[in-house]
Amino acid sequence: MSEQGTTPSAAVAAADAAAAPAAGGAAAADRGTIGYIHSIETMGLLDGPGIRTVIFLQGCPLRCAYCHNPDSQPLRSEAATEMTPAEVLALAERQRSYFGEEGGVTFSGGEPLLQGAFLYECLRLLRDAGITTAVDTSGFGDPNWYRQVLPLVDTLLLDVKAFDAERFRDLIQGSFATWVNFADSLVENGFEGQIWIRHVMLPGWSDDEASMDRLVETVLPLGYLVDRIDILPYHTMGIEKHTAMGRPYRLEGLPPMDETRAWELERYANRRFIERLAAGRETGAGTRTPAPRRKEAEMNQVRESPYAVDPDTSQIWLRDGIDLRKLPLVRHLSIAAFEEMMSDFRMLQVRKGDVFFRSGDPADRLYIVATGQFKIYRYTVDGREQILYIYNPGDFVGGLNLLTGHRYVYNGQALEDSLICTMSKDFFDRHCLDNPHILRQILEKSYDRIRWAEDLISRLSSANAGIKTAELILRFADRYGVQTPEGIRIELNLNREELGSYAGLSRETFTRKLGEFRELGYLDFSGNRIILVKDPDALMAYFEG
Amino acid sequence: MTQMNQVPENTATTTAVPAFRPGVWQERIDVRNFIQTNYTPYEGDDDFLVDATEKTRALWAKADAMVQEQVRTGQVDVALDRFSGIDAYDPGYLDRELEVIVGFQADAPLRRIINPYGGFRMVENSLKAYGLEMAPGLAESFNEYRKSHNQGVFDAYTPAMRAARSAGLLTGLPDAYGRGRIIGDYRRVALYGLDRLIAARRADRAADSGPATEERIRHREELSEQIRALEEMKRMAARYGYDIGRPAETAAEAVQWVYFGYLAAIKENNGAAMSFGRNTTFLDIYIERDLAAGRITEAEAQELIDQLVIKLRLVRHLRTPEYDDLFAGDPTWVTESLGGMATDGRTLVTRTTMRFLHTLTTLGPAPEPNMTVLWSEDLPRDFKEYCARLTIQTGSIQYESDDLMRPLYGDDYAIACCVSAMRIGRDMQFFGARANLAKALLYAINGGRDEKRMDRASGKPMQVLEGIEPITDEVLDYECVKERYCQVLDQLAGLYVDTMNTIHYMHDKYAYEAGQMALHDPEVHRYMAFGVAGISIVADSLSAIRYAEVRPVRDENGMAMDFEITGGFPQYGNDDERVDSLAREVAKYFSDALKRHPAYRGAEHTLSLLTITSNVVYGKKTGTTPDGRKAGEPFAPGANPMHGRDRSGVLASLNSVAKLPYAGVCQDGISNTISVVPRTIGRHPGERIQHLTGILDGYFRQGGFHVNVNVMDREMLIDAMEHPEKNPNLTIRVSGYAVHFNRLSREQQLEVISRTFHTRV
Repeated sequence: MSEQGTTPSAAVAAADAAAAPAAGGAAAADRGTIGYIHSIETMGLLDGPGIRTVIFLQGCPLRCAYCHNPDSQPLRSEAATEMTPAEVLALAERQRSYFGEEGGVTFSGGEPLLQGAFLYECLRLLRDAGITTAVDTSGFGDPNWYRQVLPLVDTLLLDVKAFDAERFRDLIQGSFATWVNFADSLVENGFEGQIWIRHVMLPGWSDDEASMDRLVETVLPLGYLVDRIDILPYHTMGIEKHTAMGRPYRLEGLPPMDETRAWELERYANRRFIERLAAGRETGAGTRTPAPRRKEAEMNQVRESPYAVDPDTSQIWLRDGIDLRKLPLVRHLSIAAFEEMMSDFRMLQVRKGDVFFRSGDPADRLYIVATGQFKIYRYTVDGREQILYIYNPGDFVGGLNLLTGHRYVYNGQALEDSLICTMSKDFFDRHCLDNPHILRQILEKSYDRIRWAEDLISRLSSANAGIKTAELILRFADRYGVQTPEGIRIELNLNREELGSYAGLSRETFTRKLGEFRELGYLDFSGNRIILVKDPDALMAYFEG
Repeated sequence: MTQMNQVPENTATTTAVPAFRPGVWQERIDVRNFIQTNYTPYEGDDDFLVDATEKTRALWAKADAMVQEQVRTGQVDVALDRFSGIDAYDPGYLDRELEVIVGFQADAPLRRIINPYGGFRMVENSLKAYGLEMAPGLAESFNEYRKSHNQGVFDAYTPAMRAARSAGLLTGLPDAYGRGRIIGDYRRVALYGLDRLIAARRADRAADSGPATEERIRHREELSEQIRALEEMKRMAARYGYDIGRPAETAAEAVQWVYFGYLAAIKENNGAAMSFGRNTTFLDIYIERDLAAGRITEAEAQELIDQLVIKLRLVRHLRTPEYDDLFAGDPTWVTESLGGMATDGRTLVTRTTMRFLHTLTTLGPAPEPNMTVLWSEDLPRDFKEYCARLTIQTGSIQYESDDLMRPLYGDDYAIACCVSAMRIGRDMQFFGARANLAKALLYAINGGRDEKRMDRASGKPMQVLEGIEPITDEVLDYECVKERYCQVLDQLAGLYVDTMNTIHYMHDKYAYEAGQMALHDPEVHRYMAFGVAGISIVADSLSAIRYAEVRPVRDENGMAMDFEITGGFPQYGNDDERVDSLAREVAKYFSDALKRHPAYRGAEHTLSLLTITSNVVYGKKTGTTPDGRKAGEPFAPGANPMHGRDRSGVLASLNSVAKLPYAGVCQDGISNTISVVPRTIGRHPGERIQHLTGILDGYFRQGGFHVNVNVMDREMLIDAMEHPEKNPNLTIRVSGYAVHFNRLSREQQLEVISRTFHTRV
């Protein structure tokens, strides 16, 4: 819609951009559904996630005081360009190489939901072509099309002009009840995407915490559909167009909104929203049952070794610089078994990226991480890599497989140059099967893996990127975090792609959320591998009441 | 997470330095093979990078102060007592205590060299402009006993060549100055040492048998000159106390040796663009080896690179103020190519690649060295994002498509100047400036007469091309204009190739770059790099003639001096195939026309769409064009759409440029420069980096060749223009290189400010 922050600079006549040989040519009847386009901006980076091409549709029922594209208000206009959905798709295809994982096409306006039939066909074509869509609306469209249109929208940019009926009327000459109806019936109308709340902040109107509290309460019923809240500071660039069109400008004399203050309040609103959601869940009003969060088992603590480490004789237990007696599992072996093990043990030097067992391989060895780190993963049906678990020094994989004789159902790949000790099934059967300490460790580890798997399921089943990201980071903080004066420091050998995979998000989305969290002051990061959690409580609010 | 068991300390590894992995590089001169068998790709982020050392900071403060002083006073320092030469000068230092890497062109920093071999008049004019005079006797002796390249060229120019040159149909020709654009393989100095290179070249010379044809005689003479140049190089380094006869053994030596190789080139030559090559992956091998052996620390590794870059930033050539008019900001095009992928799929990014880029942080933003990132879709993500971040912060990087070049040049090529690719040590190019295709279009309408220049004798417009019938139609007819334009381009192509052949024959004869060519293979592949200015004007003009109604307004001589345009027409820069195809057709047509005329020494014809900052001067010299551009108004730089006409957003603009064909057509490069406003590329800093990375990925995936990205506000530039003291280091990318904004002329600053800033309010 023609709110602030969403109109193109040069008010491009779409004819120039469309590259449509038919532009202005054939009669509407021959071309099927026709859209009336105000303008096109091929590179929109503020209207939805990623790099997006923004199509501004003509027509808006509202008369916002600050509208800076009043020429987009009438549905039919001399200046408007006609386009078919196929032409929109062709245009989008030309920009596809820039879209990446998150980007796509945004329909703005005007009020794009006014041209329901056209919008529906465009969205359908785009979805079939695998291009993500966003619709920028103030909730005043043609309700007859909501059921068709809304299920096809990936991101809804939902404008909240004001928070009560009076202000709504004053500012935009529209009915608050209509907006509330629209928001309330989103899910009922089949909307399954995410929502970015947007609010144009006018100085003296909504530039205070109390207003932000009201904004939060207004959108709170949307719950986890909301991915973030954007505050767009009011600017005065619309005045010129009003004057040119001979219209009075109702906000004459109102200064532009201070950007820094608007930004502060945006942070406040986002934080407040999450806190309120969490509080709502506490009282049973939440929309989703949070995943249980508990203290991790102390798997990584090195327990006392049954062998007193004698520095003089330790040489003989050394293999590639590793004192084997300190490894888990084997430190519980009898001395005799340990000595035999010295000949059975194979040390595996793996380089970063090496895959040392694959799904389907027989589980004939047990792997214990001496130094380094590796991950186990499998591929999802759509071909993405899904990380299941990450193993650190002291961890072992394959215990249960050896017990049950199952083949591996995942791949093991080194995340850094690692040293891995391996034990044969034969040795295992003879010395470990009847050792309660060892069996207990295997059980503990299996249990731990199951719990991680449960967490993974809960992360993956949530649609909300904020929850997924916050939850993953807290899990890592719990497990690998080191408390420092600045916060909990997590050092990881995973790149963003892998982290995203772990969280069930694309790399771009994960990186974006991480950036948002940094902006909100929840965390900081240095390079790509060190994350500093500064405000764990704020992150916890995402999924815990 | 802590590691459970640390490997016990091994004291045996701290002193022994392992030998390099063997390969054919040991048997023959083959730097690429050495790199491929020994380098360590780096796919991580920038977390390992460290700040500049105290030494570097102190040295850079001194250097920067000297530079600022010269900028402030507008005065230059010139070594007036002698002429250029690899070993012609005593050693020079800025501060011996602080300098880790040594060597200046003359015997003091920022002291410029007199190189008379390209053109003596150029030298005289330059000195005169600065109120300087060369030592008595020098000029007289030179003029009495020597002849310059410039004199040679003019002895052989035809009247038609002179006319095309003086009308500005062909401009910037290297007929009065050094052609440059040659990249020596400076890495050879470090890897092999000069003794080995000299021996190899002697063997090449001895093996060159066969009848003494003109070609072979010249080749033999050149090989002998190269051997002498290598010997001079060795002596030059010895003055600084280094024996570069032997291979470099440490990282510090490798950096120093490579720099000596380059230093010899810039002592010997005053070429327009004296590019550095592709050195970081090579140097990384030495640095990583020393780091692993505990011989240096990360801080010392960064110090080596910082100090090398300080030296590269202090390169200066003696040029006329008019040259500055054309190419603003005293550019030297010390282009270093960074990144890219190896043909086996590994990335060529190393830690040292990042250390080199990191100098933009340790030393601050700067236009030189001209950092050129070879972009591939397969580059490590962390590296891409690091580059994007630096672009947003410093505006000092340009990007070129490794995915387009690698299939043509392999994985050991580098960029000379701005966009000219060549295999290092295997290819060289004959630089050919550019032809003004917008003016050529006016010639098609005006019967080969120039719209600006008058013939002195007749007082009529100067006839530059013969046999072109003027168009007298009241309304321009597309087919007719196209036919005439083809005639003009055909004739221009022949004239252009002949002119270039003449220039490079003379340059080889009078100003041969023996030192640089000694760091090539004995037999090289040669490109002849033609260029074009005004492609967007031509496309828009043809589009206007085709889709709107264009009426020429003729003067008393029948010259079309203005055009009345009725109706709209598609404009280049909006991803509109109707006009983008015209740009493509013209480029292809002209490229084909050039190729019909054989080039000197069997060179391969290539073509660039590049203007650098000369688009302003082209504008001045070109009359009103049928696209609505008024006489005197600047051209768009390079292959850019005309200012303000790309109104559909950045992506549509990029897409239009990306359609221009590289391989086989515009294979000397297609330059594009975009400016975006920071707040429009994302709400949060992290988003901006991601978005910029996505834009670059998308553009290159579309087949784009080159892009300069400026992330800045028009207001910021206006402020910098009014208050230069507030932001002395504001660096912006122009076409193919970067400049300090406050060293541009007012006119150039205004032109930059008038360019399209992609923004949305």
